[in-house]
Amino acid sequence: MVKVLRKSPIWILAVVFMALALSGCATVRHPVPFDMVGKTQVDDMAEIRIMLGTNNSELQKSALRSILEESKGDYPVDSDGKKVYPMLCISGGSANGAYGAGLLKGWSKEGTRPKFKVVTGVSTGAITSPMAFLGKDYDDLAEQLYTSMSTKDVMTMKGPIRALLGDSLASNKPLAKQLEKYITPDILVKIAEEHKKGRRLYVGTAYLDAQRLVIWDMGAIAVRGDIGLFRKVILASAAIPMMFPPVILHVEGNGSAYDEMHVDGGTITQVFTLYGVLKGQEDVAKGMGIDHSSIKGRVYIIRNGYVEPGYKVVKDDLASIAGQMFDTMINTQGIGDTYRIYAQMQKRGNDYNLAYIPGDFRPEKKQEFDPAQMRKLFDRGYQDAVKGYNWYKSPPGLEKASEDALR
Amino acid sequence: MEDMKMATKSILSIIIIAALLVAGWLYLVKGYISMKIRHAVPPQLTYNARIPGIKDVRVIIDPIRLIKRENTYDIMYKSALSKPKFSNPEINALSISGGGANGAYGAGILCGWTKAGDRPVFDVVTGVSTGALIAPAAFAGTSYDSLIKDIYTNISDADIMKQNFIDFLLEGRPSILDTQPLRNVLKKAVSKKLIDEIAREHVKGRRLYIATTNLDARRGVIWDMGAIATVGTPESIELFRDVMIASASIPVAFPPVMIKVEADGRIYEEMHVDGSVATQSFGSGIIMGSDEAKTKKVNFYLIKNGKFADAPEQVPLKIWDIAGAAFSTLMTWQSYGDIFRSHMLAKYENMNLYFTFIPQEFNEPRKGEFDLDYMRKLFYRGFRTAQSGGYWTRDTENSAEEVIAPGK
Repeated sequence: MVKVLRKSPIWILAVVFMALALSGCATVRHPVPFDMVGKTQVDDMAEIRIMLGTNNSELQKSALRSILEESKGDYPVDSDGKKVYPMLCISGGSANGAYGAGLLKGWSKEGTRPKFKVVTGVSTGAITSPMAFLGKDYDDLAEQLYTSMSTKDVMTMKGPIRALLGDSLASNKPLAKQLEKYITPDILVKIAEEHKKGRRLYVGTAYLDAQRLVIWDMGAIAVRGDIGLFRKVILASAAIPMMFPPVILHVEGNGSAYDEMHVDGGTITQVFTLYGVLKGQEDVAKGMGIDHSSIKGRVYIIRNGYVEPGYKVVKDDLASIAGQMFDTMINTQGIGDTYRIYAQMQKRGNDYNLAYIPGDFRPEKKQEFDPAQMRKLFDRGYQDAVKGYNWYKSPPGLEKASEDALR
Repeated sequence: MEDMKMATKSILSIIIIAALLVAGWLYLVKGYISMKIRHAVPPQLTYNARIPGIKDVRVIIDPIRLIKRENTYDIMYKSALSKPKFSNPEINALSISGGGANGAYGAGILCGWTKAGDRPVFDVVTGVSTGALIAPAAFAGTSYDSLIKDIYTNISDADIMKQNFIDFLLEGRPSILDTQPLRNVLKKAVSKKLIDEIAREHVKGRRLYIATTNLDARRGVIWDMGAIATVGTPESIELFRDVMIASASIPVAFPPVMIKVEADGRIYEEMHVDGSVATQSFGSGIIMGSDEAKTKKVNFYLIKNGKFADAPEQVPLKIWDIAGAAFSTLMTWQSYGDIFRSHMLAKYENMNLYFTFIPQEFNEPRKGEFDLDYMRKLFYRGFRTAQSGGYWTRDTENSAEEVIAPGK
């Protein structure tokens, strides 16, 4: 596909156009060389991130260390004598993130929302995750954010030439401004405090050059006090490719400076757990005195989206077809993600809980980010949770099969 | 004087190109220059649409239903299609995934498997995208191996991709490339003889299914190709090839295939594209719903025409490059989820899942999308691997996890 597009006449035109020196500002990239991929750092902060698939990083050690950092009695003990770590994983889904935000508030109201040991977020979930991490005091902020935003607060469309010759159809500067407003130095300090108490907040971005997920330890970034990077990572995690400009991160490896292109984490996975981070770390954990057999995870996945796709007649033009294609792919990808996590959680003996937007609830929207529609989604999430959310115990489609065949 | 001429020329070029760009923008992004009016099926009639003159040959599958065995089976056979007859002592099914030129791997595997001598007659064959181009010949049997080999070792960019920017703008074509060349290739490859062969096998109870994506409905559609083959009219033969082309038509790169349908006595058109937009592979649900599967051993062979993840490659800061990279990343990781789905279902249903994929260390250079050299090397890689046995893994879950490290 990359090659197809590269051969496209539009691309050739774009090159000719640039050769004519109308746009004198072509950015030259300094991508990470193949053998350095996964070994680079941002500002000498080794502990703040890991590329999925690499090993022995400071982030992995810090994830394990969090168990030693917590206080006694922070987390409940199950009837089988194991300590239970509640973990919250919030998925991508743009405006549908309002559902998850509403769910969290309803859950607080209902009273059983636990203190999460770990919170992860992708895309819109990355935006929600700091508030979800800090607990019910921030429910109102999330509500305000997800019910007052309209398209103009998130993006501004670019003109035709800037878009076709540039890196995206729209600018996400308005969203960056929103993040600046909401992610205050105060929030950063609070997140750092929680981090030191053994809790962890992670956000995923797609490192597009390498086609891999990069997981960022947001608490560690908060401890470093790098508020600019904190916001940048969240912006990258929500930077839908083509629609928004990718975030170019300046990194260092072996004494040389490079850059990496990061986009919406949902390009790789709609939601993630710590499974990939902790895989293969059993011996390290043992060395730190952590007994795996005495703990277990209880994973709550909020899928900010539908499982059943809606019907929408596609206009016979390239952009509509491309848009619908991405929607459709993300739909099945999202289902696959819930299966992947289910398989992994079973292997670990963890408890699996899944929420998604009910298929019969599809409020209409008048624009991409429609505050009226997002209010409805928020309220539905709230209503579903306030009387006790009925979590799905297995991925969609497996429910019956698993009951029949499990034992 | 020369300078003046040059300058005028440059300015003229700039104006022309700018005009083209703006036109392109209006067309592509805003959809202003839309010349075709669509007669899309009204939403409430989605599930009632039928192919005119041909009895039920397909089912629309919701993502959940696709994986939920009861529903898949119910929908497919109780309401529309005829059930397969599993008359052999074991049930053998083959599922061939999407993957563009990487289909050469699956083609090689099948041909090498024949050579190894233990390739079964498959009770069910399913194909998506590039897999849909292989599936009919794989279904018809080993005597069609040369056809599979030919498609993937004698075809190149020139045979598949024709582009014409002027046509693209003037005709209002909703894609960058044209499918006519692929159509010509299939006209030769999918002969009346092959279709008749498939029809005969269908009557015996074997089944060949291909998936496309109904883009309006954002759902996969499973086509009973054997049932289409049994109709035997020129229209049905055309439909047979249309479904194959639709299943392989990557949106944006290739035009969608418009399929004429009838609902409530009126004629509409459905927009069909690459089946892998909805799913990269399918089929286990279809088999597991049958009564025979409860008593017989089921072997499900899954060929993934791709690696788990591509090697890193720089993405230029340009919208088309970003779009391409995003698309291929999404495809890669969507199929990762699909593999886990198959794995979980196989585990619960007590089915033997055999799985093969392009080894991560296969790193031949590739020039263009359909690079003949690359495809030949990949074909023979698959061929040799299959010939020597040991290419199927049972440990789907771990093999999926182990290979995501970069450079592997």
